[in-house]
Amino acid sequence: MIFFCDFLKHFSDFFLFCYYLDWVQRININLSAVKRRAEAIPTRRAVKKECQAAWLLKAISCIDLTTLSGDDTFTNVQRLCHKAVHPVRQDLCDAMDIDQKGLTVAAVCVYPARVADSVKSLKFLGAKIPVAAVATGFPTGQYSLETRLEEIKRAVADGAQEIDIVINRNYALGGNWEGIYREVQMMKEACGSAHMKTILATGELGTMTNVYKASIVCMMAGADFIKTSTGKETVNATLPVGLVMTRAIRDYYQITGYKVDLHLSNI
Amino acid sequence: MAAIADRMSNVILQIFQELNYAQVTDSDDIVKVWLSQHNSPVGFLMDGCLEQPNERELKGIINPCTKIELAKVFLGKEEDIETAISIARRAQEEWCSQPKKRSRILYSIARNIQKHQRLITLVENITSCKPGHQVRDVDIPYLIRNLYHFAGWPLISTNLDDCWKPFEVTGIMIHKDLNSLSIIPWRMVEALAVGSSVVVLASPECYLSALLFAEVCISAGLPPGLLNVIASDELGFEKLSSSPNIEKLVFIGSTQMAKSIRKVSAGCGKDLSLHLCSRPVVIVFDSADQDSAIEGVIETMIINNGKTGVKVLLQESIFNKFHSKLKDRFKRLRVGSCMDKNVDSTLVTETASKEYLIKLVDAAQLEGAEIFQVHPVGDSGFPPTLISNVQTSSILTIKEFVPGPILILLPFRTPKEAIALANNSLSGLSASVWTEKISLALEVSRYLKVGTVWINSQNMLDAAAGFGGCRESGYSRTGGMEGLMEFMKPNWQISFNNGGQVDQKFGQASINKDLLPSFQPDETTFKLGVDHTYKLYYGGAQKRPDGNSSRAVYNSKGKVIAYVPDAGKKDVRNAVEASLKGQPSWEKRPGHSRAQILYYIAENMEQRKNAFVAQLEEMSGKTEEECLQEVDQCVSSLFTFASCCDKFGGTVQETQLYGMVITSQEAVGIIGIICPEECPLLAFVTLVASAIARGNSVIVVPNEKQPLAALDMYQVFDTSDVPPGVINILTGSQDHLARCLAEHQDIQSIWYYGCSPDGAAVVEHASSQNFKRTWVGSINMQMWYKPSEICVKLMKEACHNKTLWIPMGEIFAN
Repeated sequence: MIFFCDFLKHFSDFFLFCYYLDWVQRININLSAVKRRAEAIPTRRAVKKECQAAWLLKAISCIDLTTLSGDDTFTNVQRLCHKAVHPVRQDLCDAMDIDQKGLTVAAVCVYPARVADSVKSLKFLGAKIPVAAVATGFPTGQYSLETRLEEIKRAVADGAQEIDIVINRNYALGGNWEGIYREVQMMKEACGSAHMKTILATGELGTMTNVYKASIVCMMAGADFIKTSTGKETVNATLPVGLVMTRAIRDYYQITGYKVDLHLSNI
Repeated sequence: MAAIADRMSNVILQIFQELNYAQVTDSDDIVKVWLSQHNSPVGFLMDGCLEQPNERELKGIINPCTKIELAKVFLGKEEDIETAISIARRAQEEWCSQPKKRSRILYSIARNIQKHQRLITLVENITSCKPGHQVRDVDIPYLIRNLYHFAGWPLISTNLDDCWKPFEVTGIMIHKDLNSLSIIPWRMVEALAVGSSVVVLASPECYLSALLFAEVCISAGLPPGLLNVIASDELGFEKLSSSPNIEKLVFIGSTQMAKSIRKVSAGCGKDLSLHLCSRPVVIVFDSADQDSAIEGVIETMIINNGKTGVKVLLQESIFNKFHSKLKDRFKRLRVGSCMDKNVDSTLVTETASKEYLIKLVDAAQLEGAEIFQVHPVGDSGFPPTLISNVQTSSILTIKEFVPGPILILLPFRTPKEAIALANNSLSGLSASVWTEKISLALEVSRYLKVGTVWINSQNMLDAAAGFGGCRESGYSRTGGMEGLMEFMKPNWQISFNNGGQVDQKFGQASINKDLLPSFQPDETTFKLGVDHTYKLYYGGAQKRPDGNSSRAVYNSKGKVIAYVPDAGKKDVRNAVEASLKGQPSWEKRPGHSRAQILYYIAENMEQRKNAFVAQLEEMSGKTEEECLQEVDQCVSSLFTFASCCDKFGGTVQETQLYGMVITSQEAVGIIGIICPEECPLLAFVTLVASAIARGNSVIVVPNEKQPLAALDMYQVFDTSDVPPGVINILTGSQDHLARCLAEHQDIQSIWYYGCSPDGAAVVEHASSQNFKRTWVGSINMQMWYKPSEICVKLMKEACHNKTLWIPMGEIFAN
């Protein structure tokens, strides 16, 4: 019986997926129009004085402070964690009449091998900032599914509360959206209670239409965040890419009532 | 983040949580200082300096957003206008002979505009009440681009100089309804570039911007007298329009005012360029990028301060989804003062417009329309409004524009229906087509009756590409070579001027003695023994006139040589109906196929050469040699225009767009032609051939006194496979037929080469009914024998230019 229910659930899931996949396939994104809108956005609003300060502080609070280098060691990871807890200088905070202790970045982001160092440093500082780990064969994803899933599990075990996975570009460029959906679903399962950010690597998807499709498929597969890029591609977060992903998030929200977050990297 | 919230308790914290925008206001101190440098009231700019007249009416210039009076200005009177014209005329003589200097000075003006961008932006911002971003990001960059573009033309446009010359003085009138800085100085720049001098009459609302622009020009080294600016009301516009001392007029404003300008200038031999307010159309197909289309729709609505409204046609299959997305977008619009940097759109604050808009919306509501406004209508003004469930019969849909940011949504089922709904309007300036299917976009663009089509985009202008409309949007073009040519005329063109007298009785149906039987026997009947009855020719067949009358035709010795049918209003209507049927498929034919038919006409004519020569000889009394020369030239002109069939299709423009901008030269539609007396056959053949070469159909009236040779042509047309309805010939009273043609709503252009300046006045006057194009005048007889020299002008008159903006781009990274 349990088996049958499970089967039914998967079956209806699959139908729903097919329905939306069909919709995703028919989507059109016009790059030149998107670019024009992206050019207009910064010219239509101005944030000055208090607004400027508040908006900048908001930007700081959304940052994943990151180090992703081959030469990362405990020293610079620890330094990074300190910066994450005290992102704005005390005298500046005083001038703005805000409490420095309250303002931190959103997360510290490192390679899986440095998760333990980060958790340790942040614990020492008494901060509740989550540690994010890049995983799944970051940045290329050109590894077997098995090891990619294993990476997630190890990072979570080491204390990572957020996992940044990369999607399979081989599938994306081949139009195998169902394949991406299945993989990301499995990754979400591997994440357990940790938040999952899906990195689309937009700079390697070729077209904005693919960016939109990848966004929707990842959201359908359970992403908590959709993220532009690894920072290792030649083109990373640009305003047009951000705009297309935001529109995808809005569409998904209008259909499901579930608001997925956006993460822009290497702006 | 909640933890921070507990501790921060100041303004910054509040903004941090809500992420809202505060009002960011520009200081207008620089405008105040600029105004304080002027005497109050502000005078006219004449001959390079500010003149303070005495005893003129005063008008306050009010900032529409704050209602604060900025300055007072004098309103110019007729004598001021005449003084300005004579100053301009004096300055022009030297100016037009110095292309190098013109180029240098325009370049220098561009540089100077860049130096004073802030002041110019603010002045336009304050006086027009447009949101700052539009002036800063659209108007000013376009203006600068325009100056650089036209600075180059004097150096390279010399190929036209041999047979074209600039109008000496150009009068530019700017009416308050369309105070767009993006288009007004364009026309001044074009006029200056070709070597004309300019008198600008600006309504007080637009005066300060025009004055400041002129001041910058003078500081950049523009010689005095070339650009004179006078504040004026509508009375002044009419005075300028009827002034005998000016040949070229440009009017920018409302259709209503343009109609009265067209009327008062009728018969004065003026060349008129009109740029009129009209509502753009946006067509969104289900294959569109919908989110981008929504932004396109919004931008179209708020451009020009929402002063025209926008009509959105939406494919039924996406109607509901798009509608709800659009509503969400409306909720995100920020509206408010023009000085606030954080507004997308300002409100309509002018009392009269506001009340009119409220009335329109109320009426629509009574008809069952759904009204959606995020910001309530209040003292502050009329907000952007989204109206759906509005029918095509509603006044809201019918109006050529509404003076506020009203967006109406209409559903359509098929592309064909979308085109029909879009064209269901008296005006036709611009349209946007949203679809990712290139073949659909191009086909729809082809059939839209507008001057500019933006595919998957909106509101793009560039100095290198023509911009303008058709029908009640005015048919003139600004930008590129097309824009320049509006300020020039061919040397051979002789314009009619009867001093602006429009005789309402002229050309009314009347009985003439020629309609009575003559006591002399008809010479041709006598000669041949069998009566030759001429008929009217329309719809590809010979038709009897509706009035069942014929009129006598005399030869040079005063003998009756034939009777030709006397056509009237009903025959004109029938002929127009026939043309309406025949024209679309004629235009659709490839140029090659049209050329084949023209060659065939030439071939058949050549075969009947002797008959034509004899007819001409009999009819005109010219020598055989002269007649032979005329018929020979007919055949050779047919060859010239046959070769024009596939060589004037259009050009690619070099704009700043990443993509293609194509000016395609389409047919005007139905052209009414009145033929001159000199060269009765050659002029007939030249005018008809040039018009049909470009896909137009014609209703042609051969010269009243010498119609026979032209009537003989219908047998040639019949045997040359000319499709029915393409060439239609009506004979009878030229004056009467000219009036009927000029008054007909379905005729798009009149070429009046009749003999009478009074007739020209009537044609121009009547054309104001639907703003059909008019080309009136006469031509030096020798020029009919030089088709290659008059060809450029003929092709210009035979074509309607449509600019197609096709952005490209799919690649953004790897």
